[in-house]
Amino acid sequence: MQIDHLTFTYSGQAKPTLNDISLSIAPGAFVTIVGATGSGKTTLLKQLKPELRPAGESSGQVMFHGQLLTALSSDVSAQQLGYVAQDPQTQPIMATVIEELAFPLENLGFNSAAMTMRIAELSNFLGLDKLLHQSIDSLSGGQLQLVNLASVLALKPEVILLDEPTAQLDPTTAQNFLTILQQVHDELGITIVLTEHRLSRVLSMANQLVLLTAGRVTYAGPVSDGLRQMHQTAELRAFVPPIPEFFLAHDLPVQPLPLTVTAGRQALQTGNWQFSAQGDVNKLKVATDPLLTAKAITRYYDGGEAVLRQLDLTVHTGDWLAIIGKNGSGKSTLLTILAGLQKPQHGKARLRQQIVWKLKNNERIKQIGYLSQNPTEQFSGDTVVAELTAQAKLLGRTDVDQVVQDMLATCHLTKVAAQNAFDLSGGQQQLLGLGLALIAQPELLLLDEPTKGLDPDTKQHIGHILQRAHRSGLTIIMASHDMDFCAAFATSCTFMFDGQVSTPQATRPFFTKNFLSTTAVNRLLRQQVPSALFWQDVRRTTKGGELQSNNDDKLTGA
Amino acid sequence: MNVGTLASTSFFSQVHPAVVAVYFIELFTLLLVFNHLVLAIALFGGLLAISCWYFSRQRIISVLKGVGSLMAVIVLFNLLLNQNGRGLLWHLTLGPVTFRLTRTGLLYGCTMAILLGAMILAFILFNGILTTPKISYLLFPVVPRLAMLLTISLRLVSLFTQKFRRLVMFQKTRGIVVTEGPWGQRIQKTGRLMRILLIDSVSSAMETAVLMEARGFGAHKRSHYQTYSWQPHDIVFGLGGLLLFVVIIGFRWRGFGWTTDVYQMTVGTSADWWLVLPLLAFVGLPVLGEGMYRLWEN
Repeated sequence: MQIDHLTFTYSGQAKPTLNDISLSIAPGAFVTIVGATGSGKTTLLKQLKPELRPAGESSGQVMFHGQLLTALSSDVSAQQLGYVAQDPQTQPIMATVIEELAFPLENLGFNSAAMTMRIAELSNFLGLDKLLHQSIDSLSGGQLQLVNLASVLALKPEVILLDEPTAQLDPTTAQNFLTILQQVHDELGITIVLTEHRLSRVLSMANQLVLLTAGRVTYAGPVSDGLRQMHQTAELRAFVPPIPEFFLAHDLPVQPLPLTVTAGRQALQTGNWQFSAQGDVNKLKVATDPLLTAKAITRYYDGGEAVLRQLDLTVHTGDWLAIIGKNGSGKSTLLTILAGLQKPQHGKARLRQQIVWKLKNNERIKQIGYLSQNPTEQFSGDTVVAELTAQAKLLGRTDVDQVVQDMLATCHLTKVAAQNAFDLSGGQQQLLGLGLALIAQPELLLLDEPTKGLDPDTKQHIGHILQRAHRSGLTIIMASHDMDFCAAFATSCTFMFDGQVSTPQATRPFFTKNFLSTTAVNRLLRQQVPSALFWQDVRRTTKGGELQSNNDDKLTGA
Repeated sequence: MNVGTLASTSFFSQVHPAVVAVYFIELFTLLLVFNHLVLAIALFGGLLAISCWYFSRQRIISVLKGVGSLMAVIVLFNLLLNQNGRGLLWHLTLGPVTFRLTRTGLLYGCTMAILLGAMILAFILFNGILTTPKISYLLFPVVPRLAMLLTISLRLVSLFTQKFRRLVMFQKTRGIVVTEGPWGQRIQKTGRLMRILLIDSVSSAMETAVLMEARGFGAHKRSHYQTYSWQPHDIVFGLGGLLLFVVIIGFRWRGFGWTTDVYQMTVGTSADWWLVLPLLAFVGLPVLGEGMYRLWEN
């Protein structure tokens, strides 16, 4: 696949989203496209398949096997170029897994015998054989994304394009999906082109990294050199995964940069680099006054097993509690109960002495803010400024205009204030959702996966907004499977599993005691500095504990 | 109304969809051609038993609670509207208005209510056995576009319903509570919810359409994946059902189980009892099949 001087401008926009892109993708390559939100990653990906090309003006050309992409017939495009979207729910159209796998084959008029062969092969290869007759509605996000991949693979494509395929999945499920994707790449020789924000696992699979900045390709080449360039580019620095970031931030000369914990440990051992803790890493903040108490909460859905079983939880004023757990572990159900949005069958949740679901709606939303994992579910379909204004009026805020302007500025939404909330990017929608929750100045804020699908910069921005609100007295409970975000911002953490939560612990002891659910830097350095969670927590030392100059290092092969 | 689908290991779920479709056509026909209380009770009882056999009893009980109120309303309306019936059981005079509780009204109301209940149970069974893939399979050779449209619609309706439930919950944070306030406000708030739902659903449906096209939809004449094949038990079940149906219809042809003049209606005639057994056998045919299927095990 060859892209030559491709420039693309969306209809109604003056500035091109893609600017003079030239790129060559070799057969069998595994290409990862990295860029900040709005850099044009998805637009570039959609230029690589005729049916996905958005409306707009384009110049330059995209060639596939020496033929213009626009000249490909629908048959050939469907067969040769597969596409998997970010949201696993969007693609499936049939009722059961087997029908979904047969769907593309039916579209191209395959006979039943040929379909049976393809489906049999695929379901065995991807481990979907036990799910074939399950209804699509009953599948988890990870299973659904696997079915989406299988449905694309059914046509034996040469290239698969994936737009942040793991953005909606929890880390373990994402890891499983990527492992299968690697298997597809390695064993079938299929060319993979994917965009991704979470790069820790993906980069170890990729053999070509493409960096996009403001619609331009700033780098295309081997991963290790690309990472160095990312680290030097302010806009992309936050995208560097923790392990290579550790080596780059501490200026440890290793070539190629380690991408996994094992490679990182080997590099540290080879370089004989020693580290010690720096700063007050054990500082703990102890909260006292209980604000929210949940007692013996039990919730089950019709005919199903209990999602929450006799769950007890106490959250103190000023606490920032992170509830960590897999998708489907009941985190969202718990949060909606604590927010008073639904009632459990048994048990009580009290905000101080009041049962939360018995509070009048207006009273409740003044005291408890809530941000859903899909913030559009809380929008009215108006412009950003109208959404914030309506919420400020609903909550009886005085000086509404000022409050709204302040919130727009805090959430970096001033430029898009006149846009419809549904037309914003994922990150902007999340910021607007946060703004809507914070505009009430609640005592307690509940956040369901606040960083899901976000780029690292937006994550940091959301973290800092929450940090400011927390410092001014806001109590926060957030459900998340983003270990780094929880470790960086929460004051205490708990696990959710089997319908219950473990006793909350202070964040640092929680992560340093964990074996699997901890940060990558902790796994890298736990033998030297068990309390380290981030690269900033340690400094390089000699054996005597003195800071060592980096000038003595020589390039080390790891 | 849906209370789940039949276990894939059950005999009934393994019967060829075409045979099942014929069975249900026969069943719905039988539910429409009798108006004697004793036969209505037999059909209702049979369908209730078979539903409890195939589905969770708890779910059937919760359905019955809903259906029961509907049945009670039908009885009540018949009692109110059938003022000229025979056999006065009780009367009440309030000024110029006299209410007459008649035997005809009670009989007709109960029969209609029970037949409606039986019809709903039959639909539940129909939903549980003839799932979307099976209906699509049946429709594809006749009306392929309708079959595809049905599949797509059902998927989108399912997404739409899930989304609506979530919106009802999360829009409370924006002051939209459809269960609070005067009726006018509730209707207005529901309208706002529907607007949000529509905006959101249209955008995701458009994305789904693009992804369908990306997988070759519309590029070629579609084929259909044949997942069902004919087995000897399909013929046995189909012929057994057809035989019973013909026998029952034969009885009905001779005037059994039906009274044209509502005022002449009775609980049932002695001849009706001859029909109870074949009717129960027809309704219970799937369970009979389950038994035979198990006896047939190696």
